[in-house]
Amino acid sequence: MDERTRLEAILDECVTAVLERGGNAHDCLAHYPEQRAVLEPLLHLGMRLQGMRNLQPAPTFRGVAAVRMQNLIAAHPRQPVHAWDPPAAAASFWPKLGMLFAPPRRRRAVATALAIFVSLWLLVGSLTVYAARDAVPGEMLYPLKRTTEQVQINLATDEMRIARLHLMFAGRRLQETAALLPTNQEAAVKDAVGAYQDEMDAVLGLLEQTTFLTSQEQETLAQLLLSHLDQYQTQIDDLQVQALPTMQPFFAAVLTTSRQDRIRVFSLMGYELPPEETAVPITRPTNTATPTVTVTSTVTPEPTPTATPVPSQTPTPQWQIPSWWPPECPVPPDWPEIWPEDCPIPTAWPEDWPEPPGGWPVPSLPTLLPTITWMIPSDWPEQCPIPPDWPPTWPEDCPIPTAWPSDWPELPEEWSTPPPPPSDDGWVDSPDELPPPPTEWPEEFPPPESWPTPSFDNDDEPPPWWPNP
Amino acid sequence: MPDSYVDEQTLVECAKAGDAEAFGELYQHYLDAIYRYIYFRVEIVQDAEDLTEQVFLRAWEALPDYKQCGYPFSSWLYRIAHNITVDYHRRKRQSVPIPTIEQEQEKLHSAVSSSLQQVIQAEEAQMLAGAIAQLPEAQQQVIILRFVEGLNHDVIANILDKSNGACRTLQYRALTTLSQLLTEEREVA
Repeated sequence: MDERTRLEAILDECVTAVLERGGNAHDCLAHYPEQRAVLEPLLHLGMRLQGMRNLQPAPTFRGVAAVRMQNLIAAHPRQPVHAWDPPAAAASFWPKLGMLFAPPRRRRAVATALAIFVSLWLLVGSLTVYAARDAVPGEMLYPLKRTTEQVQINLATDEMRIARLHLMFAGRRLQETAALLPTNQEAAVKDAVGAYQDEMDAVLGLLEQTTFLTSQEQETLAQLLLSHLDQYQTQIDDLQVQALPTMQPFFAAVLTTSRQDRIRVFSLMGYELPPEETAVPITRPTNTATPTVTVTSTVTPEPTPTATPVPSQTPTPQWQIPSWWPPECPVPPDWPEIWPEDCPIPTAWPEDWPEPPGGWPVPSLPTLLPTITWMIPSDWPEQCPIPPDWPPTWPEDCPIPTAWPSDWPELPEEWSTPPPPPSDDGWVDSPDELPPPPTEWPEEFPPPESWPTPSFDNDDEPPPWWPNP
Repeated sequence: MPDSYVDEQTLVECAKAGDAEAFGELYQHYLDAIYRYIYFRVEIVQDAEDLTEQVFLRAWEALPDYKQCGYPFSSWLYRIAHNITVDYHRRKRQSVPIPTIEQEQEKLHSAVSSSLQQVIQAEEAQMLAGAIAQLPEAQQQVIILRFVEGLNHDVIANILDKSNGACRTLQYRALTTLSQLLTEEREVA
């Protein structure tokens, strides 16, 4: 138990002793001389707060509010709630129907016994399913709980219903994780969190499949998902607070994955990312329930000057899988015997990978992510080359990029000055290219004698073709 | 007045069935607690009174949907109070004039009798409420429910929908932060 956890436990013990058992803070702290200096002021503050229990609303408010409450209740009476009460007209119906189909005595006894048996069987089954509701991994009824959930999903009639079920089940997985944490069963905790991520993945998958959702449903689902992600992120943060130090990196990675999911939703729906969201490359492996790449621990949402980050016991890897990583190239924890030649080299090896072969040193080159400085414009002609293609001769009908990618050869000298953009407005610069003067005065023009005399720059006389006023 | 949980259950069932007198008993019993909870979260006496009334109005309307689940009826009321307080703070982000300290003190002093002890308590309450309001929402709730209302962690965890362990951690953080805030205020004063 680290020091902070110990302080929390001692504080709670003394608070309980003072608040619930009428004990004395001084007596409690006498058992913990080393923590006394830290905890004594906190306990005194607690007792100050306890003194606020006598605070009451004003007598005037109490009286007025009581009258208002009575008026409201009188204005909104509620109908008494009874057990099922068959309407009077049907009260005589069932006995009459029973008499019409009354079986012989023997068959009646068998039917009665069968009805009792079926009822009991249904009752026991229902009670068992009900009892399984609170089961956690490792308990006998837990498989029944998961089976029941799967049946609910199978019976769901539309994708929105399925999505809501997955979101609800994701919440249950976190509750199970909370129940497992005090048992210190790390593997079970990780499995529960993995199951939570499976549920969230299922919802994300539904959001990505637009075939079965209308745009309105997609919008609704995205908002629902974002709302649940926020809520579950808070719960995961609480779990991290309670978890052992050895599990801190695991929960940090889960929180990172949760934030990535959020970014994924924003990206899918075309929402604008808030400024505080950073574009983190997608690191979630596609076929595992638990994250296999751990990342540096992130900040908890409740900052306090006294909270110290839990030091992780092992160094965290620095390599994150970039978004452009070729899908055919290995990712941790896969380790090929020979690194594929056509795969880029990671910038740092994950901690859980073995050392690379002796004859193949880890390069110190920066990441091979091409530092493309040239953004391909949206109107780039399809037939024109884009990095990394480099034609031997730059096609004449292709525009010149504004900046060359760093892995392209140098810009050819003859293209150092890009040609002027084609003008399409009909105006030309060179007076030599003026259209020939009209030989006849256009009919639609007003007669020249009614025109004002234009002023000609740098000329004392109008051009020769200008009609005499 | 419910002396035991069983009695309260009976009152709640009667109130659910439409018994106004039973609801009135519950109202009288929990009025002070809900008022205190809301006051320490909104700091303004007038607003605390209005919101307290809203809590019970909403409780009366929603009572048919209430289900006994092994926790006191107050847990449900505190949840309603929390939701109403959250809505209040959301609305308050729009331009709402904030009463001056003098106005608040006048209200507090008029709300209690003129005994010196109660005046001192009113000012102490205002100072603590001002400091509590600076805590994160979850810490506010733990401080108020644990120390002002005297609830145990099981009930608090049910109200906040968190685990017991998380509530203990919040308790420690809240007291630490509150202690620092009050120390800073003393130094500034």
